Amino acid sequence: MDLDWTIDSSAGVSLVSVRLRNPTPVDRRVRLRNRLDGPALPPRTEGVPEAGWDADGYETVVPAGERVVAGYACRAPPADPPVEVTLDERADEVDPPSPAPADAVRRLGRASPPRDAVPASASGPATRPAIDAPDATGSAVASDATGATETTGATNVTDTDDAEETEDAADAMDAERTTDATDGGAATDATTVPEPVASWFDDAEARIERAERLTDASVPEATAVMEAMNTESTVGGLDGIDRLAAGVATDADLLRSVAARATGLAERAEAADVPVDALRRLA
Amino acid sequence: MILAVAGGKGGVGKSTVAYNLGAALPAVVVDADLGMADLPRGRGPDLHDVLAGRADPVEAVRGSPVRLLPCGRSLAGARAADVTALADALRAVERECGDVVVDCPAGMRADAGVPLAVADCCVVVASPRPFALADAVRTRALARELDAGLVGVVLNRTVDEPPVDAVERTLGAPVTTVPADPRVAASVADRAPVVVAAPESRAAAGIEALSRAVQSCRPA
Repeated sequence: MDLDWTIDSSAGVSLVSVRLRNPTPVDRRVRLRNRLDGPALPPRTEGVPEAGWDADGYETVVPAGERVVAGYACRAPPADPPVEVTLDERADEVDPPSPAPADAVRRLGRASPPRDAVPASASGPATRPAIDAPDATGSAVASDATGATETTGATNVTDTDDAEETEDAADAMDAERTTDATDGGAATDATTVPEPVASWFDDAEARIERAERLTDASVPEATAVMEAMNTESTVGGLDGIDRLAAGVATDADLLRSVAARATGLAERAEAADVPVDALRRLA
Repeated sequence: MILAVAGGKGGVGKSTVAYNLGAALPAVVVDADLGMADLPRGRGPDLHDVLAGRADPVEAVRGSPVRLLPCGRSLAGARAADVTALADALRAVERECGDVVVDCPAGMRADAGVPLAVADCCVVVASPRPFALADAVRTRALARELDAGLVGVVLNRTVDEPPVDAVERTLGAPVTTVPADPRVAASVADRAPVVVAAPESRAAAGIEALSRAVQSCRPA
């Protein structure tokens, strides 16, 4: 059995492609073993690994004089060689096995309802955060901040790891705590925006600046930003980048709706005319 | 023995046939219609919980006069349920409780295919209308591909003279007819299988005939 492989490694993940050629005049059963330091991540259809794969490697029959190609990923640094043939024997004539349930899933496709069809109430409210809370500006921002984080959490209802949800919950609690602390001292000075709004603007500005530095950034610039993120936050690396992208997108939505509402209110405020003199005369 | 009650089309009476066949055999009826279940749910864990790894399949079996493993109704439950776990769940119920009748969902996706792949044999339910027959032919093809031997075809809710010969020729399997009978229609909701509630009826005779056909196909 001729074995030829290539390995492509990036960001701690190795992609291994294997070519097997059977020069003999008989079909041969071959077992490949992954030698990298981690489980083989096989190709999947509808979430089900292709037939012949398990965590150790791949077993298949290479027909006489033919080739078979296979490939898998492994979360491990490359090694030389990444795969080895642990079994190479004449394939016995066997009846094709009766189709397993996994075949049915691969061939027919899952029928589960799409994520968007599932009400998110299972994990808390997932409606867009409402901007028009009727009371003070401070609490409006509070509900926005927590609402936004809950939305992020809710989109992950079924298929994320718990860690992320816990973090989301922690974020939501943080947001609540911060706002609670500042709520009482909300500034009502005519020239400055209330403190919670100001701090929210500052946070959003910091995120947007970071995103701007990453936009069209050279490799050293991007690395510097990512390193800064790693030291400042527990969530660094690519997770941090994902979070940043999501955060900036949420910021854009929220800022736009705040701007729209602020403009509307400003126009109404300008249009309203309190008849001070007339009322004073009446009094 | 695991028997799948299939039929590509919805509304032809798969659940009713499965329920009544469960009473006649007798067998545990598993409601495998993950998205649109319609056998009585009752209280306690259901198939959604089992397929999400939250409940033991045998402990979710309950009810009388027909023992059921019901299915949940929520979309969230349907989404969380892993249909690949259905095979093990059905085999576990068969090991502990004996024969299993699986009420399959309509359609041709994996939730209909997995029960057929696990089942030893299947029954295809069709209504005696030309358009329903096309779906029955497709389901038979799927069952053949997934190695579920076809025990027979049920023409459900027949009136007058059903086209038994034509169906037998088309599908290549013996046909059992279950005449339209309000007692069959009400059997699930009233929890009164027709073989118990109206043993002398022609519908009960049809279900009994189907039950005998299934028994005769029991794998050695």
